[in-house]
Amino acid sequence: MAQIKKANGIIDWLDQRLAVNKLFNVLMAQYWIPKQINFLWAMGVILTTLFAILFISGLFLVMYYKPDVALAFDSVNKTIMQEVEYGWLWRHMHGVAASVVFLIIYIHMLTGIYYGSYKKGREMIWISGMLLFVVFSAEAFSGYMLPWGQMSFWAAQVITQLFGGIPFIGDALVVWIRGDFAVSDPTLTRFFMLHVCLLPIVILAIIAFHFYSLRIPHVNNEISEEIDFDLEAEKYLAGDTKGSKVIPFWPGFLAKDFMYIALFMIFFFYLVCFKFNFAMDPINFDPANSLKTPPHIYPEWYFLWSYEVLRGFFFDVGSIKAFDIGLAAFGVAQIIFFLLPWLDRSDVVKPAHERPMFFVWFWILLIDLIVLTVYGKLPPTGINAWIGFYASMVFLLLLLVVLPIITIMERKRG
Amino acid sequence: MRELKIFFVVVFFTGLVYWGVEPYAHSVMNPPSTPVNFDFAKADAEFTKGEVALKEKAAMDANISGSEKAIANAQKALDLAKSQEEATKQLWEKIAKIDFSKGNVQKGKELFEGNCIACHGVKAAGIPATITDSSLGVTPPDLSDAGAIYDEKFLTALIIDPVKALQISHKFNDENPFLMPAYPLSGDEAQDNQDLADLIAFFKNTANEYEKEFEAKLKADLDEKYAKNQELSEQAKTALIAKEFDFAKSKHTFENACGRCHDVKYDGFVSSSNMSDLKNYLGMTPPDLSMMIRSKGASYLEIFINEPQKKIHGTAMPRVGLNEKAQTQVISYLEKVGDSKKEEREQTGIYIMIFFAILSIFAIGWKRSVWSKLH
Repeated sequence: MAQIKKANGIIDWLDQRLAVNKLFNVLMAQYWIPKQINFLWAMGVILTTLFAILFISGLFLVMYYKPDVALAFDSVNKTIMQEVEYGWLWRHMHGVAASVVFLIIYIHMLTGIYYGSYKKGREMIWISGMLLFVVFSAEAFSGYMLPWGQMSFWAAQVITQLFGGIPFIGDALVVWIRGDFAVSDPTLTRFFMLHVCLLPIVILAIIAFHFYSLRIPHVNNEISEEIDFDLEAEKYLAGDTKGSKVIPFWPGFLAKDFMYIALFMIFFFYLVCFKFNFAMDPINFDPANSLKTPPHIYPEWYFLWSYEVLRGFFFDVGSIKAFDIGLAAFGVAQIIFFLLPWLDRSDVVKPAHERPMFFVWFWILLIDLIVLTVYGKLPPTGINAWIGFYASMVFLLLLLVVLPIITIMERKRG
Repeated sequence: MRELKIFFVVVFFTGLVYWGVEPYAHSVMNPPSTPVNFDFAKADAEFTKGEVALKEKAAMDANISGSEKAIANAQKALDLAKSQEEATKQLWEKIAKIDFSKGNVQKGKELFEGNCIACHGVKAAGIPATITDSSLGVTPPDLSDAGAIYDEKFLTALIIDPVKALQISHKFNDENPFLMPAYPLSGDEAQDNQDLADLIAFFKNTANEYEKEFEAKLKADLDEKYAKNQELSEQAKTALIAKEFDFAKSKHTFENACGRCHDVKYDGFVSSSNMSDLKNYLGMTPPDLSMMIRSKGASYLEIFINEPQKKIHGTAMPRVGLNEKAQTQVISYLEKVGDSKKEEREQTGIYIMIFFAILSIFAIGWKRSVWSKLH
C-alpha cells in the first residue's frame, strides 16, 4: 500500500487514494490535441453533450412512460406533456435532441471524410464511430416506436418486415423480433427494453471505445499535418505554449468547445420551445390504428436516404424481385461506410480540397445524399421513382466503384 | 474568417435538407386547398363543379375502357352530379331571395312547434327535447344555440335540403334516406320565404337570450369561485377569470357544434351519442379530438371544419356550417386542450435562451483568456 500521509485538502486526500491528479493529467491536462482545428472538431463534444441530454431527459420520461399498447400514447401525450410539471420540456428536449443528434453525427462523419480522418492509422476511430452510428440508429428507431402513434406503429410494421427478406430464416426472424405474428404489445415491451436498457449500455461502451481509439493515433487536424505529439507536448510543457503545435484537452480544447456548446444550446432550446414540430411527425399524434394505413409511410428525416436506397430499385430484373434488390442495396448502404478506409486506395492524408478528384467526389456524394433524403420522403411515383433509382445507383457507384478508381489514380500520380 | 466560411457551408446544406424534407416534401404530399370560405353558396358552386369534373373524367376513362356497363354507370353518375349541381344552384338562388330582416320570432316558434319538435328541442325557449339519446343514429341537437353558431344561410339550406347543406349526398340518397327530412315547403314562394325567415328569426332570438344567460351565469360562477381567494392580487384574479371565461365559452361552442359525435377525453368530455350508434350511422367511429390540434394543425382544421370534403373527399363528416366566430372558438378550444402548455413553453423558452446567451458571453471570454496564451 502506498504511503498515506495526512491530507492537506480534499484533492490531496483523493489523490493519495485514487491518484486523481495523475488521472486528470492523462485524461485532460496532458491529453494533446492539435492546435490547428476549426469548429467542426467541436462536433464530438457537442455529440457527447446531446447524448447526456438524451440520457438524463430519458430517465425523467421513464418515470411516467407506460410500455403498454393501451396506455403508451396517453402516458406520453397526456401525462408527460400536460400533467407532469415541465414534462413537456423533458419530452421535447428528448425528441429534439434525438433528431439533432443525427444532424451532428452526419456533420461529424462528413468532416471525417472531408479531412481524411478515417485513413491510415485512424481506421479504428472511424469504425468505432460508424458502429456508434448504427447502434444510435437502432436506438432512435426503438425510441420512435414508444409513443405508439400511427407512424410509430406503421414504421415498426415496415422495418420489422424487412427482416423477412433475409433468405431461409426471414419469416421466423420477423416473428422472433416482433415477439408476435404482428406488431403488438410484446413488440412494444421489448423495444422499450432495447431503448432504455440494452442499447444505451452498448452505446456507452462504444463511446468509451471511440474515445480510447483516439489516444494512440490522435485527432486529425485541419491541414492533415503529421504531428510528433511527444515532441510538441514537450515544447508545450517547457513553456513554449505559443510555438507548440498542440494544446492540452483541458483547458485549451474544452474552453473552445464550451463556447461552441453554449452557442449551440441557444439554437437547441429555440428548437425545443418554438420549433419542436420539425422533429415530430404530426401523424404520430394520431394513436396507432392497425386497421388504417396512413397514406404515406416514411421514416424520420435521418433515415430517409437509406430508405430511398431501399425503395429506389422498384422494378424486377429478370427473376430477381425488386424488393430483394432494394433490400440488398439497403444492406450495402448500412455497411458501406465501415469499409471507407479500404475503399480509399490512396495513402495521401490530406483535406479534400488538396485532393482534386476526391474533392469533386465528396461534393457529389453530399448532394446525392441530400437528393436521396428529399426523395425518400416524396411519394415514389412517376418521375420521383426514377430520380430515386438513379440517385441510389449513383450512391452505390460512388462508393463501390468511383472511390477506388479515383484514389488508385491519385496514388499512381503520386 | 475561414471558420465563418465553413459555418455558412454547414448552415447552407443543413438548410437545404430541411427545406427539402419539410416545406417542400410536405407541400407535395398535402396539396394546398382553396382557403376557408364562409360564403356557403359560393363554396357549394365550387364543390359541385368539382364533383362534375371528377365524374366527367371517370366517364372519359370508362369510354376508353370500352366496357358498356362501365360507360353506362359512369354516364349515370355524371348525370346525377350534373343534376345535383343544378339543384344546388337553385337552392342557393332561392335562399338569396329571402329577406331575413323581416322574420317574426313568435311565428317562427309556432312553425318550429308544428314541424320540428318530433326530434329537436329548444331548451332555452322552454321546448324540451323529445329524443334525448342516439337511438336514431345520433342525438338530435338541441337548437338553443343554433342561431348564434351557424351561418343563417347555411341554416336555411339545412332546413330546406339537409343532405345538400351537409355535403353528404355521397352517403345518403333516395334509397338510403337521411335521418332529417326536408322541410315541407308549401310551394308558394312568398309564403315559404316568410316561413323560413320566421324560423331563422326564432333561432337567432333564442340564441341571443340563451348566450346572454349562459355568460351571466358563467361570470357569476367564476366571480364566486375567486371571491374567497386571498392569495391572488385583483389584477391576477381578473386575468384568470378572463382566461377561464374564454375557455368555458369556447368549450360551450365546441359542445354544441361538435360534441354530439366527438369525444375529447383529455378534457374529460364524452360525446352525447353512443359510439356504436354513431358507427352504424356514419360508417366509422368519429375520432377523439384531444390531440387533433397536434396531428392536423390549426390551418388544416380551419379548412376541414369549414368544408370537410376539401381535405378528405368522401369523408363521413358532414359540413357543420359554423360561422367564423364559432369556428375560431372551436379551434381555440382544441388548441387549449391539445397544447395546454403552450404559454408556459414559450415563456420558459425565452428565459432558457437568455440564460445560454449570457453563458455564451462568459464562455467566449474564458476561451479568449485561455487562448491568449496559446496563439
